[in-house]
Amino acid sequence: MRQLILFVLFAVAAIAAVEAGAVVLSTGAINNYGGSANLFHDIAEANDFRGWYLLAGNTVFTAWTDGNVWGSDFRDQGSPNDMDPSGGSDRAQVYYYTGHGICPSSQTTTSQVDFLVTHGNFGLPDVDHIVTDSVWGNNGGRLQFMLIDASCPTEVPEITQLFPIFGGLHMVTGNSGDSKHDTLDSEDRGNEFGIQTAGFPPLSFFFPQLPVGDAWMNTGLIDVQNQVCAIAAAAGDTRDDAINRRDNERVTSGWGNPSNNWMAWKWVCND
Amino acid sequence: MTSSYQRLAVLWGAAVLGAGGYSAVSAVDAPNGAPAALQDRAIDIATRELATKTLGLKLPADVSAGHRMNFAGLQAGPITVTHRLDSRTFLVYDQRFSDTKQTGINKESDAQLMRRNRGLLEQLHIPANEIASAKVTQEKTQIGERDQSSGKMQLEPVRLGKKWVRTTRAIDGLAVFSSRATIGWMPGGAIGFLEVHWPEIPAKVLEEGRRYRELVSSGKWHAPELKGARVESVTAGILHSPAAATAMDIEPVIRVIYAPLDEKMGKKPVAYLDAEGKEVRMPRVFLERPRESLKTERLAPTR
Repeated sequence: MRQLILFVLFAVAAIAAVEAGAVVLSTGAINNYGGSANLFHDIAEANDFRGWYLLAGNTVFTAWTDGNVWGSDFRDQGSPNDMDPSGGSDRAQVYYYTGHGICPSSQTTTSQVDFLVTHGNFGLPDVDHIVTDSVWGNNGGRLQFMLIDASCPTEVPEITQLFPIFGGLHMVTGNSGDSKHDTLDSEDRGNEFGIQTAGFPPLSFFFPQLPVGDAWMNTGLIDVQNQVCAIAAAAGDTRDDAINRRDNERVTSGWGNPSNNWMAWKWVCND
Repeated sequence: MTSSYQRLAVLWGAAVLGAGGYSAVSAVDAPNGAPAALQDRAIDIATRELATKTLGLKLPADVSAGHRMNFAGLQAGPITVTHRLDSRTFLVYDQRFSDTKQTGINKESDAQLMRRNRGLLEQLHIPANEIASAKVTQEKTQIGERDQSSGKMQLEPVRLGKKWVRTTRAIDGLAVFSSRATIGWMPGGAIGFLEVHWPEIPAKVLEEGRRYRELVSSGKWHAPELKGARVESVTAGILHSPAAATAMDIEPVIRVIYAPLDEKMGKKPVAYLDAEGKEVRMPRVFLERPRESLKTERLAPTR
């Protein structure tokens, strides 16, 4: 009995010892598109992003690459879906995706925008129309921060179309452009974004943790062509709540899930 | 670079010992006490001088400073200042920069900001002739409310937000792809965010970079084919480890940007190659990566 009590006390202490505000992270990184404009640096980029999060005391849920990243990982409906226990995006608190998206021919298009493109072994189709396919933070989903490095997944002119994805989700980040003004395949962008959002507690005052929105405003224009914008959007219960989250929320803030009554966003462009 | 910085810090520190007013937190282990302690203090003093004299920051009284691995830094209230001991790399963040509701935004003209930017880079000994381009970028912000019954959006006007000056680097016209200066400015010209990553490039690497440039311009070098994409541009330059890194590798490269043949595909593949057209070993981020046990096989979904 005494041993059982000691075990319980030890377990509780061990749980409490996990750094306050530590998050669970997943990454999905795709280089191999089966010979259709394969990318070079996305897996390394996700490795770097994850590396800083691990050093900051966070844990990793999944870190799938290439064919193990499925289109269904980002879809709310269907089977499997974003709650799939082997790697759905809604299982972690932070999800960093790096791979292809689909760019419109111009930024004044009237055609559909905001896509992710995978090259999965399962979970077809590979193409996700975020606006209609994705809802995060709902139905038991944990995702709070969907961080997308895919070019054109969050087009500025149509940003309000993203309202429905906020099922409990706090923030989304991405880029806006078109087929002639695009983001480049870059390891550096994800590395910098990783350390600025994770911070680095072992050298606690050397690498401060920035709010997600500002970290993306600083880093989202690394290795992008002219006229590409970096955009960060947050949902909120009220106007002030949405603004506060957009400007001040960190991945470890521990704030409750917002409703999607209000949305506040900001963007900066490489003009 | 590490030994140069430390020698400089020790000499400087020896001259101004006693410039206290802060508590030093040093995490460096030393085999014997006195010389290491002197060096630690000198580095901490150099960091404080960087913050107050070079960067012109107004620090509150309580300052914590220290150094570890290849970084040295201090924290004072909302301000963090970091520099690398192995590279000309500086990082500053003032938390008030993010809280524009309290702090406001910089309203100086772009020309004024560019002047400030040039002056600050000069203070950091960034050679003016290595500045390839500099531009002001300004954030825009907007808010919307969704009518839950109709689903219609009501949008407020777009407002202007924070300003940054973003600077790129070239040495004698040779692009240094990984170097940059990104400085975000608060009202009154105070630094809100600063990342200046401008390591010295060894002469041998520059020489090889120039050779790559001649090879590219001669027309004799051809980018390898990438299936499903066409070559959009070919540029010789220099690649190095990023600011946030425990390594500092520097490589001459030929950068090839490809454009997907399917114009709708987003993200342009980028290859960094050598004179033979082979992929270079990318500059490292970590000297020692955090350990992970990564799964490589994801089982098919069960129905």
